[in-house]
Amino acid sequence: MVNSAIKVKNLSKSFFSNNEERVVLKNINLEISAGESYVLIGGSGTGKSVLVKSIMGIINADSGDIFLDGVEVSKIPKNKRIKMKSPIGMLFQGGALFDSMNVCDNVVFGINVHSPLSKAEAEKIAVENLELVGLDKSVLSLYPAELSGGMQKRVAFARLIATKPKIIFFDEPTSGLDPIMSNVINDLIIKTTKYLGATSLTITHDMNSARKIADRIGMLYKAEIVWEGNPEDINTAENTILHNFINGIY
Amino acid sequence: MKLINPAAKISNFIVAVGASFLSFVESLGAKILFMLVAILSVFSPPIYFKNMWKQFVEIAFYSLPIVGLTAFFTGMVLALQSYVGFARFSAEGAIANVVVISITRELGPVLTALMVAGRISGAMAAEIGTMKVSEQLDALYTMSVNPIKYLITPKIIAGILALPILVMFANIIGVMGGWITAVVQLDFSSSLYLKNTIAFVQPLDVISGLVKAAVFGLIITVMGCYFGYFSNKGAMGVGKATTNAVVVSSILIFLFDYILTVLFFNV
Ligand SMILES: Nc1ncnc2c1ncn2[C@@H]1O[C@H](COP(=O)(O)OP(=O)(O)OP(=O)(O)O)[C@@H](O)[C@H]1O
Ligand SMILES: [Mg+2]
Repeated sequence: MVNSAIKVKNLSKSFFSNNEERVVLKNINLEISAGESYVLIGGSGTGKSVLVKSIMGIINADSGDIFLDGVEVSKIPKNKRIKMKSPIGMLFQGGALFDSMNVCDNVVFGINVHSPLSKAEAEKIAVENLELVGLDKSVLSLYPAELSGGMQKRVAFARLIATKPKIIFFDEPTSGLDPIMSNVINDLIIKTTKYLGATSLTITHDMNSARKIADRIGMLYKAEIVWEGNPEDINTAENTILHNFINGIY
Repeated sequence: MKLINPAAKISNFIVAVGASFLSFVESLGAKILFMLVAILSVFSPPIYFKNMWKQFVEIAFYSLPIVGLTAFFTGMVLALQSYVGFARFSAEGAIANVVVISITRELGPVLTALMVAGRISGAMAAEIGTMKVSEQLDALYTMSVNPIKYLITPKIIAGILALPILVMFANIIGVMGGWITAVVQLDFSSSLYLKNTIAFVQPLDVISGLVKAAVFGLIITVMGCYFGYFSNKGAMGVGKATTNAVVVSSILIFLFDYILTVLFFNV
């Protein structure tokens, strides 16, 4: 039996602004099996980040059931969920590094905050994880403001894998990076998810990236998943919305 | 043309006043709830002592220069002004009494709180607002850290503890300011001035000031954190949060100063 690492049933979410309801997600169903790499594509503002944040419990969905590793997390109140040291991690769209801390403290934060490390231990763990993303110890004492966008993403990556998550959400890992750096990140996603044996859900606009890292691709459009399939089928699929999206037709 | 019915106009006005009063109460309720959640967090582990200490140093230690300077000049001006005023009915001798009671009961706590509100409340709103906008609060959450417990509770506890210490410091410096002016500029006897000061001041004068200070510390930090935590996305949202934190905490400082004065001195 292959159990699913991420399972979403009938998830809906609307936002209200100026007394107007905007449906961002409507009855989303999603099932990702353990070890699978699922890529979610879709236009800007279609609710990809909201979907991922709802699964993580950062945003409260209006309705729907969410299971992570078979546990129905949507039934657990938020303050209890925070305390569960669940092996779930997320790479945020903008990196979300703590700008009051240097690179070293950022990378080890997830460990250090729960069981304080000595300075030497912290540096050792930080260097190990930075090496995995192609950075060396010369960046340890720099602050996020002193790093380029691509370096920030890589440090955020190192911070993510330092906690050894089993379920990982990547929110636009390659946006704003040059083609070479994008490929570096793609390879990192493949390499680290394999190394950690992790299940991943990646949000992206970048079709090269999607083809490269996906076992399966889903397309979100107007609050619903309108297509799901394998990367090989994406060019031949008879779905106008998908076809228009990947060819940039508007 | 539409006829204007005066009765309808008045009732519209009442409805508008009522609505804004209700929304004020509602927003006050939200702030009180936020404060309770943050403060009660201190009673369940984990407790982030290191963050608390850092915030305490930031609020107490780094405010010493500005609080000292403010208190010093206030004490000096107070001595000068009361000299001018009291000379009109030959009561110059009461300067020491007026200075010490005004500083300990009122000016020490209120001016210290206003200076700290300017320094700290806005900075806290900006820090937390920026962290929210750049998803750093979400990042804390994904690492099993409750942002309220980690960031906000330590700030509030540090504020409640730091303000009384700052006010004690302001009281001493303020009284010294008055004493220096009295002795150097107004030719008072140094020992007589100090003796008058000590003989006149009552424990309640000082204690009421310190209790006020703790309440002001609570107001300053809760407002800074509240407006930051609920700020809108974008630089504009954070800017507005900063302004609101300083303005609202300053107004609440005056409001609670009045309320506490009534409670303490039964007037
Ligand atoms: N906290 C919020 N309050 C109100 N509306 C929100 C909130 N968060 C997101 N939205 C709205 O939900 C919609 C989807 O946002 P989301 O961030 O999920 O888009 P996205 O698909 O990730 O886009 P992008 O590719 O640009 O990151 C947007 O229209 C946005 O305005
Ligand atoms: Mg997004």
